Amino acid sequence: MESLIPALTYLLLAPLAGGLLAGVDRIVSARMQRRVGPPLLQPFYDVAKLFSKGDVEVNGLQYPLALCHLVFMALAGALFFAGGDLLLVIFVFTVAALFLVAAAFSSASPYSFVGAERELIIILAAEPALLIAAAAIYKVAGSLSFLAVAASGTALITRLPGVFLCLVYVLTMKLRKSPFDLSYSHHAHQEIVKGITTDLGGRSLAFIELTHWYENIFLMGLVYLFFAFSLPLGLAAVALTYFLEVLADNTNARVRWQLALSSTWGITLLLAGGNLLALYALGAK
Amino acid sequence: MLTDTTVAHLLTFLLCVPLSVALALLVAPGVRLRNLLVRAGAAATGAGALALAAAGGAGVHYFRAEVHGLETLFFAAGLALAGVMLGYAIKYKRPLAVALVLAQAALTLYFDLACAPAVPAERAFYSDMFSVLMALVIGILGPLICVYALGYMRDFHRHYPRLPDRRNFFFFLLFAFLSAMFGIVFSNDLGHMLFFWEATTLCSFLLIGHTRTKEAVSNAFRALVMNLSGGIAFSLALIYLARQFGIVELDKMLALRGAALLPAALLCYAAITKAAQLPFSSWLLGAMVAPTPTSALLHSSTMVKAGVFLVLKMAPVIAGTAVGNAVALIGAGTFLAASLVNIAEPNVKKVLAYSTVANLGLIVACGGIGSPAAVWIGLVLVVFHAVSKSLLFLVVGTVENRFYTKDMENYDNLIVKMPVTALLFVCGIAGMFVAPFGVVVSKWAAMKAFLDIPSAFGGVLMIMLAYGSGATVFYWSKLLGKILSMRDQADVEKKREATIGNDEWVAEWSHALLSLAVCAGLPLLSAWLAEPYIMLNYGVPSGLGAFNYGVMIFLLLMLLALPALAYLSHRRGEYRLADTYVCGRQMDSHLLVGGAMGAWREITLKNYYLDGFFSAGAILRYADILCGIAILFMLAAGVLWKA
Repeated sequence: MESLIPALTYLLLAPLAGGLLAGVDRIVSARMQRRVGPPLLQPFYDVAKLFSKGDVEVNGLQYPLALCHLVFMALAGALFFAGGDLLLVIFVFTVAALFLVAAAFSSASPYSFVGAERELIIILAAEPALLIAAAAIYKVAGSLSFLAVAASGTALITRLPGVFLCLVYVLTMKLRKSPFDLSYSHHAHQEIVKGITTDLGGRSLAFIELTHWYENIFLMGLVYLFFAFSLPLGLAAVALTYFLEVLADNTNARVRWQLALSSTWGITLLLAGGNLLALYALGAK
Repeated sequence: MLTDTTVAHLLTFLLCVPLSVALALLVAPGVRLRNLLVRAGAAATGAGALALAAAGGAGVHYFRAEVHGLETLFFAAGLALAGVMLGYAIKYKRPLAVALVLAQAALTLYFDLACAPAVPAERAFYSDMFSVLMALVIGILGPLICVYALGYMRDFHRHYPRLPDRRNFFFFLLFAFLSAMFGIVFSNDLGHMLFFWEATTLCSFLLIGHTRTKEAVSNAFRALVMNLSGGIAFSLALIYLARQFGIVELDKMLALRGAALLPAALLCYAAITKAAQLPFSSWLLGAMVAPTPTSALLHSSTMVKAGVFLVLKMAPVIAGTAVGNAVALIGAGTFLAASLVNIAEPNVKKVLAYSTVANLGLIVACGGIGSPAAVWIGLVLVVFHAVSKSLLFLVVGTVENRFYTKDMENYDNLIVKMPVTALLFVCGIAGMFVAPFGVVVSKWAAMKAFLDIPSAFGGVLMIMLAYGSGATVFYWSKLLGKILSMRDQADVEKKREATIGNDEWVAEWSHALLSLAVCAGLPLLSAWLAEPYIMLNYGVPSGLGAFNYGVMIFLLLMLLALPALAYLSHRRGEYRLADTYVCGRQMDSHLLVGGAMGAWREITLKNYYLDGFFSAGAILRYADILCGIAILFMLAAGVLWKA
């Protein structure tokens, strides 16, 4: 029962918090580009408008797959905040991403197809980092549950600085930020400009936006976990991390996707893998 | 006592019925009689396996051979096997194969005449929970594949009319293979097990070479040579056990624990060759030349599963030793290398094959670790992998017989062309890498088992597993995407699925339902077979019983129901179909784009293979060398390690 409350809170409030985060993101980005930017609530207006649109689709598969993408992402996040096994959360998180990939594959559009391939590149690049991060957390805290780790007051960040840095690097992709030219990168100078959603519209696209909000809050929760011993410090770390991601987004031109993969795997091995093995040398449980 | 007798009868039944059916098939005239024999034999074998599970599932039973002259029979049959192999090796002028067959025969003769105890083993046969688990895999999946093969081989010969039709011999081999597999999992007398071991080597050799094309023959000999080298190691282990300890029984060997490390290392070598671990994976990849039911059989219920069976049996002896660590490293290395290589692999059958190699690697790694949790994982992964992989081969065979392609790039629009087959395909793929299906659950448990190893070795294995998992998601999703991609929504030849026979449908649907059943039934499988086996061998539970099955079942239901409900409810709703968008260009669903000057150009969309990153040649070369070194280290450790 105890775990049900955080899960429900996440399910209800994550869209709200995620939408606000997106609003802040757009304003901060605009200021970095010397623009005024949209109102804070603009993301909500956008999604509301998408929901009001009539359904035009390229095939019968995209809508159900987009819906599954949303539901499984929400499930992954809920499982995470409910204190579920972090490895299982990562697997469900991957399943959620797969539904987006499948939705994009089902369309014949080249943009959509290349978008699906690049989304797979993100998964391929990020999966080892996420799994090794979970492993390292387990080694330090003796548990894979968000609630248990937070309650134990373990200062993960002091034992896992390498893992944290690696995770921040991977988050750049998972939060759909530049510099990498991937499936959902949204700058006009990039190759496929959110290609993965090319053939999605109306409600289906609204699902994708909502999913993105759920996803961002879950990922911020993961960042928070490293500082969970102190609430103010944790929130500050989350805010700073997100700000840095927005900064990276706005100060970097396009970087080829090939580099996304090779650099992430290298960094994962060095920072996260090195950190994990160092734990044994330093005498973890 | 009653159960003991019943189990004894059922063992005899399982050993003899497939063999009798096989022999009958060899002489049966006519297609109808053959079909009848295959279907009846399949049903009888499956019923036998189920009856065994019901009668003696959760117990351990040992039997002495009641038949007089059984030893002589084994001796003669062993010589016959060697004779057949020798005949083929001479006929096709393969000096290496000739040398290995002769060496193997000499060792076996030496053992039988000079080392074997005068009195036959008191406990020649046995059945425990692991045997029953294997018997279910062999006895249910194997017969279904045989039934499937009826339809497949009909289409196969229709497409290749020039190939000689030796279907009776083909089905003889399939059923003989099943008997040999039952022999391996029920033999406590290692001498008998060696005979069955060699029988599977010969069966797979003949199945791979079935079409007798140049490529088939050369791949068959590669398989023969590699597996014979394993057989020789097996014989050496047998001779060492007999001379050093005067025993030939598996249970007595396992009771020796650390003292039996050298024979265990030799048996692990044999198992690694049979389980197609690096550097021996090439024989299993080469087996692709055979008709697809052969692959389904070799990859799921037979052959390679004999290899991992033996490694898992050795686990209590090698756990925590340098031998065990070397075995774990070979397994994990094979898992990683095979997964990476698969990213750059366009041939669907090879994708399935490398995936088998990778999953077997994970099982071998678990056997090498040998902790109660690791062995539990190995046991359940054997089941999960067998069901899903067999399903995938059956479906690929069906598709192949209609489109004559193995290239993943030609699989698009399958969801429109063959919707039911595509659905079964998706079910098989999901079983291999989507949570909460079994293979992912096993991987998840394996990560925890690796992390519970106190030394940094566990961390290294974990990192290998993490990278391999990323690659696994990539190569399966790519194939999944191709199957689901809708190109031409009004494909003219929609009747293709009507040409699929009932035999094939029955086999494929049974597999699909089984893959769901084993996933939902994991708690039962664990409580009934896996956990008692762990208790029996280690005296402690695996520690994996406290699993949160509730979440798993919930996820499974969601995964099954949600896409279906969303699809059905949406189909009834109002939506307008539109053409795809290509940056303002006109495009129709045939992937034709209106270009300049009124020309229509076709677009081709191809997957990423990342061959710049993952060059199969380089990865395999290095991994072969590293795993080869690990094997030498394993054998050296077997000689030198003192517990």
